Amino acid sequence: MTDLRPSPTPSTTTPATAPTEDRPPRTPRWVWLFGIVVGLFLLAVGAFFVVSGDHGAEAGGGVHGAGNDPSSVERATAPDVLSPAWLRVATARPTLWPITVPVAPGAAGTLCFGVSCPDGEPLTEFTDTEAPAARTSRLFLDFQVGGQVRTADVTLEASAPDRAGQDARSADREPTRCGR
Amino acid sequence: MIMPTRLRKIALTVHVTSSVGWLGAVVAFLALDITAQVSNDVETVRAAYLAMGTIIWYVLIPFAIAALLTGIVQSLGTVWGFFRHYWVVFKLVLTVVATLLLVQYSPTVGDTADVAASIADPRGLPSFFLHSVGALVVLLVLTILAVFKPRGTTRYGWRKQREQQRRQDRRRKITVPQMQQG
Repeated sequence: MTDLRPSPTPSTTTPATAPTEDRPPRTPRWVWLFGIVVGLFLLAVGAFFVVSGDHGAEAGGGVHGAGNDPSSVERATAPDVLSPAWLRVATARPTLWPITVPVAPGAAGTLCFGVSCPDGEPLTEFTDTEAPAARTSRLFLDFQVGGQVRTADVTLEASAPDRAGQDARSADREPTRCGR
Repeated sequence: MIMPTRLRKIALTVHVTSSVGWLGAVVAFLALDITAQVSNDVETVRAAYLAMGTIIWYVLIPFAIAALLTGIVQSLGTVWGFFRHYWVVFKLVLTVVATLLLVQYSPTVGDTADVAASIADPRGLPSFFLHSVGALVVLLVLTILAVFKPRGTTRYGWRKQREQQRRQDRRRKITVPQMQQG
């Protein structure tokens, strides 16, 4: 093997920095710089995943956020159109949740936040505007919780169809707990 | 295994088409996102979100996967190899990461499009601007790497080159004595 150390004779010393047949070429500078930039980018993406818990759109929240499990809400027992229902949810950031609730055609209802209707202010009202054969209405519940973990009791109530002429909401009736 | 020339050109055509198509689709997605954010018309905003939901599933994801797969085929079937040159390594890493992020992100876009289709006023729904711009930057970097192919061989590539050189030298040494004898 060639001895690459400089010889003791100063005037004939050859710097051992040039590539030789046995030494691979030096890594170009652009590779180091690019590697650092790409590494930082991957770190930033990874940190975003870890911090947010999921990958969602910015400025207004994502559909699935940290601590949320929308599937548990959707799989919760669908309330009868005449029975109110409780849905307990926990969220750490603004979230847009799809909640699927089967209702009779023509039914109307309110979704209340914090306290059960009719004492609390309704968060949103929904009506089933689909064709008479449709059986479901989708609600999108927007929680604005300021970045703090909140546990909220959500009361979902639905009134009977107009043709029945009855309002099923009652302050005296105990709401049915549907899911966590 | 080196591909025949015709096959290599076909693979290259598919790779370039899908890569540039991916870039174009991201630009279109960005334009729709900006429209959804700045427009005051409810139906325009709704249409923009619906179009974004369609683009991500039927254009972006297929193009991304096609670009990744054809890129792998190109690497394996040409002298560039997989890990011989730094620009190829960087392209591979960035394409894999970008494709994974896109696949991970698409349900969010799809769900937001569903929301936009269902609610009365879709204005104010989340924007995807940051992600679109990030994707655009990554794809531009990939394009620049592919066109300029900056110099730089990895240690593995350098070893492979030396092996190839030694094989060629051995073949030349065998051939020359034969010629001299003739």
